[in-house]
This record gives sequence, structure tokens and C-alpha cells, in this order.
Amino acid sequence: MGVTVDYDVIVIGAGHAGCEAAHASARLGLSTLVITPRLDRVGWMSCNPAVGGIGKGHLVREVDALGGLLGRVVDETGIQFRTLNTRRGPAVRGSRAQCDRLLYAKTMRAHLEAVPGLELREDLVEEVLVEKASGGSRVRGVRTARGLDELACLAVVVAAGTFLGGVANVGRRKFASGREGDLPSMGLSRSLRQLGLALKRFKTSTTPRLDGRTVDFDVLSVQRGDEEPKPFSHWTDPERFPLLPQRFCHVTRTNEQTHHIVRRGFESLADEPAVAGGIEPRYCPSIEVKLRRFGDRMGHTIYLEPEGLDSNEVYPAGLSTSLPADVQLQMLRTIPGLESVEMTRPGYGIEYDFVIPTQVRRSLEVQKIGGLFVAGQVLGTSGYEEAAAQGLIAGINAGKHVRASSNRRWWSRESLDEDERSGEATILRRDQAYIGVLIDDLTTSGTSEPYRVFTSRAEHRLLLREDNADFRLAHLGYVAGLITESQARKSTAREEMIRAEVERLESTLPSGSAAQKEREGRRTLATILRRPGITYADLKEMDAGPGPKLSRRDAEGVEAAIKYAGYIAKLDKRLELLGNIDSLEIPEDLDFSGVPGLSVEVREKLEHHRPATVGQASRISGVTPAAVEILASLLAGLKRACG
Amino acid sequence: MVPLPKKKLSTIAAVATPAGTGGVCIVRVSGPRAHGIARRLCPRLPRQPRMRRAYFSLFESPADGSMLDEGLVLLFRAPFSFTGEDVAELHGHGGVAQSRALIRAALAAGAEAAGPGAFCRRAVENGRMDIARAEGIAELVAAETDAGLRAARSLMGGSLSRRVEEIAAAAEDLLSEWEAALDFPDETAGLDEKVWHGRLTRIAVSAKQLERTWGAGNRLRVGPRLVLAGPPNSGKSSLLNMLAGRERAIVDHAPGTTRDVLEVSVDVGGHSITLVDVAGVRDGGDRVEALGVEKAMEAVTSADVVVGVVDASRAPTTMDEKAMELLANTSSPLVMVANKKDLGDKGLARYRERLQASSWVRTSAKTGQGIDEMKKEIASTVEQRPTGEAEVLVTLERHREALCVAWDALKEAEIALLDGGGVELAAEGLREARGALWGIIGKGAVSDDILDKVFERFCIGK
Ligand SMILES: Cc1cc2nc3c(=O)[nH]c(=O)nc-3n(C[C@H](O)[C@H](O)[C@H](O)COP(=O)(O)OP(=O)(O)OC[C@H]3O[C@@H](n4cnc5c(N)ncnc54)[C@H](O)[C@@H]3O)c2cc1C
Ligand SMILES: Nc1nc2c(ncn2[C@@H]2O[C@H](COP(=O)(O)OP(=O)(O)OP(=O)(O)O)[C@@H](O)[C@H]2O)c(=O)[nH]1
Ligand SMILES: [Mg+2]
Repeated sequence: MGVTVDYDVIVIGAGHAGCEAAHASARLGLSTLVITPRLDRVGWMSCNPAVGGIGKGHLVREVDALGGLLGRVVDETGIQFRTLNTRRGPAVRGSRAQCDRLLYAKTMRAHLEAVPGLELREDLVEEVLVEKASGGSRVRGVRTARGLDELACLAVVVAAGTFLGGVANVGRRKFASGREGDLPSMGLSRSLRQLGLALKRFKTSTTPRLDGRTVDFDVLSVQRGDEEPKPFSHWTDPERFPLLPQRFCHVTRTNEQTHHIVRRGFESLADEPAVAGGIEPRYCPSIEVKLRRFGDRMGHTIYLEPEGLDSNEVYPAGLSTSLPADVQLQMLRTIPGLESVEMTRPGYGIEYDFVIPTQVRRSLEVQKIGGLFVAGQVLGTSGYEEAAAQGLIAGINAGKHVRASSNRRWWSRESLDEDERSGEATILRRDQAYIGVLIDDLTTSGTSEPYRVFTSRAEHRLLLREDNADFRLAHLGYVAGLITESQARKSTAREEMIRAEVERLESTLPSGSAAQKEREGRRTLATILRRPGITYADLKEMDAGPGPKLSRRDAEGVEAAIKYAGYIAKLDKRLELLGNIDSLEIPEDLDFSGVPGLSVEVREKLEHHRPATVGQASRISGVTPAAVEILASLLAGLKRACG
Repeated sequence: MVPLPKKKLSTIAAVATPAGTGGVCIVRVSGPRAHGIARRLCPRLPRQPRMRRAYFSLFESPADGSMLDEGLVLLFRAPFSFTGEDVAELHGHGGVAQSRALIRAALAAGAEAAGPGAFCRRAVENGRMDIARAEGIAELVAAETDAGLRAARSLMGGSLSRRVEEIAAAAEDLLSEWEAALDFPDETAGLDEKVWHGRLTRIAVSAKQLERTWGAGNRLRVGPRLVLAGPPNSGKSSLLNMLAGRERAIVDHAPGTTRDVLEVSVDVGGHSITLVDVAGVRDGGDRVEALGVEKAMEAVTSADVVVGVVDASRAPTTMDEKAMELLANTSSPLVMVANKKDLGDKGLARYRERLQASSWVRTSAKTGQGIDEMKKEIASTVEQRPTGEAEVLVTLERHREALCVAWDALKEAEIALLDGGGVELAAEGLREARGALWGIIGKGAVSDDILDKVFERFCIGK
């Protein structure tokens, strides 16, 4: 090609999406620059100092299995590790961790700085530069605010979070801001619009912070972490874990008085669009929106979370608000334990531009601009885990894009599967990962509010578990070049070991006098494990061995494989059938108006979303099953005809 | 990349009235160019025609302007038409050659010949009706009996769709509660898990109840089965031949003549009926006859109407006891026939004591006496069966299969819930059942629907 560039890939923003993107791209061997306005806020947690949860924990495990950073950084900075939903089965349990906010940012930065070929620079990108190319345009660089002027590159990842055209408010007071203490990014927002991207506005809010010395913890109940904490990362040694001293959280509740103050505060500001307007996430609404939406309720649970080991600040989870600061304080003081609390900073709301996600492909590349990728909150999501997952995928695909556009060969073709060999992007399927569900939902259906992951969004929930994330994804991470060979081996060995243990339990009768009856009924250890409430650990007494010594994660893997065995076998069969239709590719230049029998509405929807596969088309709302049938039979017919 | 035809969405046309000579012939045109095509054929159409209004016009050939016919033309604007597209209807004079000329003219003006069901298919694709209702239309057109017609009308009217929708909604409600409990354990701690099993069972039972109507529903569609049953030699086969109007069954004076099950389709008073002749029922007889008797008893069990035939010229004997018992215990509507009237009816009183049928007809298969009366009795009994209007009946195999899938999945969910497999496991079954139900009415899975439900009912915080 002969083009001289300053960097292969430039990542805009070092939030959770940007950090993963930059890390992935650099690990692929591409010269990568990440630009962010404050280097002391790399990987900054804008909201609560916690990572994971139901569904979110799954994402962390997936990012980790693919070779991302998130899980490792959480393991290194976590001060409480807890499994949620322990009453339910392994597929819907979620791991969550409290982190030391400052340490998290420091550690993330250190990880990035340790990657060769990755540079960090403090600046603000004002414009994305493009040039004409066949079938549209392609990225050629960025222009920044602080005199670096134009930087040439082959791919750009936009990971600007809540910063585009950001306006924060506390009550009626409004100020331009990307996040508390940060300036917004106005130029980039304008630049994206000029490139033809449609942007819309979302709103989100965060909680006030409390001075922990003024909280009466003695009257509150304590919430401890797990007795035997599990690391997030597949590559963290469970024997030497946790690394940091562990902390408690505390639990309290709002009450009628709290609600009364919130309602009065809200009513006095009902004419204020910054408070009343904006599309907030349903899934973590501000306290004022909660009350408005759900009316009276006995009270809302509030978790008091430590900000860090050396910090006195406390984060009251569940109290996001953009009411005036004096109302916030009044409200806080009605809550048990907070009667004489002081705020260190008020909560605030923030409104920002996001890129309507149906404009990007599943590779996260913008449809009409080659080499331009978008990831994270700026693509309509909410949450660190969602951002990191997209950042990772965008980083990998930006790297692949650069590889494809320069003709350096960087991997031996034989080692790749079909997809990879054709130089195509890394795209995860819905039955493969929550990351696949997340990106597919976003790019096919868009979102009417900040998108958050849930287990109920996955139609193959029993397959997508925390315990098997590495079996599902580590080989892809390896193929992409983010996972080392020894890591990939480790994951294969773990899979083998779990399979062997499952087989052993399926064929071993219990021993010991207590299990006499079970033996007579020829009930194996596996049958016993399938019973409600029985865990792997409970088998110990009746298991004469020789079983392996399993970590808690591995034991969960065994439990899941045994408890869900019947379903998984059935699901596998169904997937095989479905896979055939679902993965039928729709040619990019297919003229839907030429497909006989599609209604006008369906055609418009298809033209608009440009689904890549029949499966994707079927998930667009308004695309009828009949239309899917038509597409499937047409494409299957063509595939046969064209061999 | 695969090359693909780059065609515009087509406009289709077809003769909508049956082939043959008739009073009118209707050509229906649907698609983006429908109105333009009508304009080319109908020079008298005003420049700004009103929709859904009949205009009188000449019909001209677009090729040479020659006059083809004269008649009415109606226009419908999308989406307010049967297909949801622009539609034109041309009502001309009937006639084989005439209707062919008219459709040819429409094709010459730019329409494509519509395939079978093409209009209905477009209606479904354009969301004008759900799949089950479209199936009702197909049934309506195909119906051969009055009862079948009524069943089809009810399907087309959406009664099955509504019932299925109800069951699916109940499944959806429960599922959204489960999903909420799984994804938001903090916010849903107060959910009453104890009632989950009861609700699940109720959903399963409704699906099963609906599925059970298939037998009756399907027979409405294909016509009822009437089984001629009674002791040997009473004249069953003779009566069958009489009703069929031809010598279909072997008749002989020896008892035990009929052994196999024999079916004929006959029209009785406007009802298309399947008439079934079987072996006379008695104990004893050779091995083959005994097999025949077994088949006869089976046929009686699954009959829609049982026609009991006895030889009333003589009194019943112990030999007839087995047949009497069978007739007395049948749960299907019973029409009793006292045959061999020409030989007298000495035994009739004894038979009537033994069998409390609502009505008795006296016939002679030899002379034909009483046969009309017997037909009338059969017709009125058939008419008293379920009509397909009052209750929702499953008439199509596809719907029944979907309901079976739903039932199986719901049962699995129940087991998962009871055996402690967990809510997430039970949810798999419930999701599958919902999918099967949606399949009946052609509704697709949109996971945000569930979320919408979740959030209108629960407070979901951080
Ligand atoms: C007030 C508030 C409330 C929130 N509430 C919640 C919540 O309740 N629940 C939840 O899950 N999540 C919440 N979050 C969201 C969570 O913080 C984000 O989802 C997550 O941080 C998104 O990660 P990101 O990488 O996409 O963006 P960010 O973490 O926002 O990172 C964006 C990065 O891009 C940089 N940047 C922006 N523009 C430019 C530019 N032009 N040039 C260079 N760099 C640029 C920024 O400086 C920053 O480093 C909230 C965030 C805020 C601000
Ligand atoms: N006189 C008279 N004879 C009849 C009448 N109906 C039937 N028969 C005679 O009765 C004999 C038996 O008639 P079928 O019709 O074979 O009787 P069936 O009930 O079918 O007998 P199986 O098949 O043996 O059970 C034949 O000889 C008939 O001709 C009738 O109405 N009057
Ligand atoms: Mg006979």
C-alpha cells in the first residue's frame, strides 16, 4: 500500500471500552495509540466501584477467556468478592466484586503501559478524518486539540463513553461535563455527525458520595463477601487469592420519609427537563424515577459500598439522583445509619450523545466508513462490563481490519478456521457468548434506553455460564492472538479434567454406610448431585475417590454439566438444526426489493438494518416468520445452485 | 458473492371466481401497480377515483384498445385491503373464455400471474392477519360440509388465535416473573414461588384441553364417522348398500359375513358422512370373525355417531347379548334402527326395553321402507354435534402438533420445578412452550417483550 501512518490503530478514550480495545489491538502486534484527556483517569470507574453481577459477571469471564484485561484487573484490585443468586442454579449465578477505585485505575494503566507497541497520550480528539474509498469512505486519521494536529492511522476506535456533548446537572444547575471532574467532548460529537452518523441522547445519573466517618455502621447489617472467594480471571491462581485485604458492605433501606422528600424535590423541578426529561436506563434508574415509576413501595435496599482500602468515602448504591444537593442531603439523613451523614459530593445526572447502534456491523465497524469502530457507552450501552466486551471485540476487529488492508501476513493460514481465513471479523454468535447476544441485540434491534445485559436476553442461557466461559471462547482468543499457547492448553486441560470427573461421577456408586440405600438403588454420585440443593462438596462423604481436587469454579463446572446434562444435549441438537438456517449469510449487496413476497415494511426494515445472516434478520422486530422463511428458502436455494 | 435477481416487488393478478360459466367473473389485482393496471383496462375510471367504490366501466384490451367486456371496478388503497397492498377488483361477465380474456388483459398490462394462496400469503406477510386465521380462509374455501364451513369460519374469525393468545399470555406472564426472579433476586424477594407450580399446571392443562378438541374439530372438517353396529345378520351391510346407493358390501344370509371394517363416503341430508360397516358383534365364531368383532368394538368406541341395527322381526336372544351391551354402553350419540320391518316387528318391544335410545326408526333394507326416515334421523343427530361456533376447536394437524410440543415442554418445566432442577431449567421448558404457541399464530420471539413485562410489574433498582 505504501502509505505511511503514525499508528495502525488509534483508540479514542481510555475508559473500559478503550482500554480493552487498545490492549487487544496492541497485543495483536499493531502499533496502537490511545488518546484520553486525563492519564490519571485511565480505566476510571465513573459510577459504582464494583464490577460484575448477574449477566455482567458472565461478561467479565468471557472478556477474560478471550484474553481481555478486565477480569485480571478486578482480581488484583478487589476488596470484596461475592457470588449473587446462590439460591439458583449455576447458569444464573453471577460473580461480583467491590474494587478499590483508585487502585483499579492505576492497575489498569500499568497493564496498558506494559504492552509493547501501545502508547498512551493525554489529549482530546476533535475530529475523525476520512477519505473516499470504494463503496463509501475510510478512516485516515484523527485531529486532536493540543497541537499534535493530524495523526494518520488505518483504524480508529471511538470509545468516548458519556462524553459526547455531555451536560451534567444537579437540580437546576447545569454544566458542560463528560463526567464529574472531566470536560465534555464537543468537537468529536460534531465530527461524527458530519461523517453522516445519526446520534441520539441518553441520560444517566450517579449517587452522592458519603463521608464514611459520619455513617453509623453499628446499626446496620453487614454484608460479607464469599467465604471462599473465586477469582474472575481464568489465569489468576486461586491458591493465592484474594490479593488484597477484604472489606464488608453494609445494608440499609429507604423509607416513607425518604420517598416523601424525593417526591417533593422532584415535583418542584417537574418543569426542569434536565431532571424530568431524558431517557434513563430502566435498569438502574435514579431514585426519583424509581418512585415515579413504581410508586409506593415499602422501601428500596441501599448498599453502602467502600470506595477503597485507603478511602473514607462510601458509595450508597441504589441512590442515583440528580436532585438539588440540599434535597439530596435531606433525603440521605432520613435513612437508618445516615442520620448525621455528610456528603463529600452530590450525585448528578448526565446527558450525552450516543451513536445509534444499528449503524454498525457486528464487528462494531461503522457500516459506511471502513476502519471506523465504535464501542462502549457511546454505542448505547450502560456498564463497565458491557463497555469492556465491546472494546475487546472492536480492538480485535480494528486489528484485523488493519491486517487486511496492509498485506502483511501475520499468521499462518492453516491455523485458522474458515471464518478467519477469509479475513473476516471476529463475530461471536448468540449461542456462543453473552458478548454475541449483546452485540447482536444492539446492531440488529438498536436500543431505546441504555442497554444492559441480562441472562434473560440469552436464548441459550444454560450454555452460557461463568464456569465454561473459557471452553467456549479461549480457542478464539488464541486464534485471534490474545491468548498464549500455554493459556489455551490450560483451558483445554481444565475442560478435560471436568469431563473426566463428570464421567467418573456418572459411573461411581456412593460408598460408606450412610449410602447403603443409594447403592442398592444403583444411584450414582451424579444422580445424587442432580437432586435439589446438593452440591459437589456434599458428595465428599460418600465418595471414596479417587477424585481430583477441584477449585470452587471447577466444582461449579462439574455441577452445571451434571445438572443441565439433559437440557444441554437437547439444546445442542436443536442448535445444530437451527444453525443451518440461522447462519445462512445474506449477501451484502442483496437488493431486498428484488426478493419476491416481502412486504414493504419488512423490506424497509431489512434495508435499514442490513442483517448479515438470516438469524439476524429473524430477530429484527417487525420481520415476520413468513419473511424469514422466504429469505431462508431463497438463500438456501442459491447456495445450492452456486455450490 | 451470490448474484441475486433484482426484481421490483411484483403486482399479481388472478381470477378470483371459480372456473366455468357463471354470473360474474372477478379478477383481483394486488401490488404496487394494481391501480395503474386497472386504469389501463378501465378507460371510464375517473382521474381521482374514490376508494372502495364501485365504478361502472368498459374493459379494454391494453394491447389494441378493443373492447373486452363491461362491468364494475373497485379500488382499495394499501394498507386497507385484503392483502395490505394496493388492490383492484374487476367484476366482469362470467364465462370460461371471457374470464381468460380478462386475466390475460391484466397480465398484458403488467401484472404477474398469482400462484396458489398468493393473496393470502401477502395478507399474512403484511400483517393483515395471523397465520392461523389465514389457514381458516384456506379451510373455508376447501370446506365440503356445513359443519366444516362453520369450523373454518371460526378459525378465520380468530377464535383459535384468541384462545392460543390467551394461553401464550399466561405463559408469558409466568415466564416474566421467573426471569425477573433470576435476573433481579434483590427486587423480587417477595415473589410467591409456591404458586408457580399451580400456575404452570393451569397453563399446561389449558394447552391440553385445547389439544383434546382436535378429534372433534378435525371430524368437523372431514365429516363425522357413523358406525353401523349390532348383532350378526341384522342387515347392517344391506343398509349400508342402501344408503350408498350401490352394492358396496357383501350381503349373505349366513351370520358373520362381514369381517373387515369397510368405509364409504355418503351424503346424508347435506352432510358428508363416513359410513362404517363392521362385523356383527357376538361371542364365538371362528378366529377371523373374532378379530372382526374386536375391530368392530374399536370402531364403535371412536365413532361420532353409532347406528345400532337389530332384526326386530324376532325377539333378542342370549346370542345378541354382547351386541346389546355394547350399544347400551356407548358414549356416542345413538340412532337405533329396527330392521326387517317387512317381516314384522314382534321383537321390537323387547329391544326397546333393553335399549333406552331416544328414537327408533323402523326400516326394511329389502323394500326400502323407512330409509328416508333413517336418513332424517341421522342428519338431525349429526347436526346436534358440536358446531365449531360455540367452542374453540382445533381443526388442523399443524396446530395440534404445536400444542403437543407445548404440552411436552410444559411437563418438562413442571418436572424441573418439582424436582428442584431450578427455575432456570423450568424456564427453558416454558420458553419452548411459548414458542410453540406463538408458532400457531406466527408470532416471533422478541426478548424485549419479556423485559417490558418484567418492568411494568416490578421495581428494578440497581
Ligand atoms: C453519571 C454516570 C452514571 C452512571 N451510572 C451507571 C450506572 O448506574 N450503572 C452502570 O452500569 N453504569 C453507569 N455508568 C456508566 C459507566 O460508567 C459506563 O458504562 C462505563 O464507564 C462505560 O465505559 P466506556 O469505556 O464506554 O466509557 P467511559 O468509561 O465513559 O470512558 C470514556 C473515555 O473516553 C474519553 N474521551 C471522551 N471523549 C474523548 C475525546 N474526544 N478524545 C479523547 N478521549 C475522549 C474519556 O475521557 C474517557 O476516558 C454511569 C456513568 C456516569 C458518568
Ligand atoms: N326380509 C329382509 N331381509 C333382510 C333385510 N335386511 C337384510 N336382510 C337379509 O338378512 C341377511 C343378512 O343381511 P346382511 O346385510 O348381510 O346382515 P349383516 O348385519 O351385515 O350381517 P353380518 O355381516 O353377518 O353381521 C341377508 O340375507 C339379507 O338379504 C330386510 O330388511 N328384510
Ligand atoms: Mg355385514
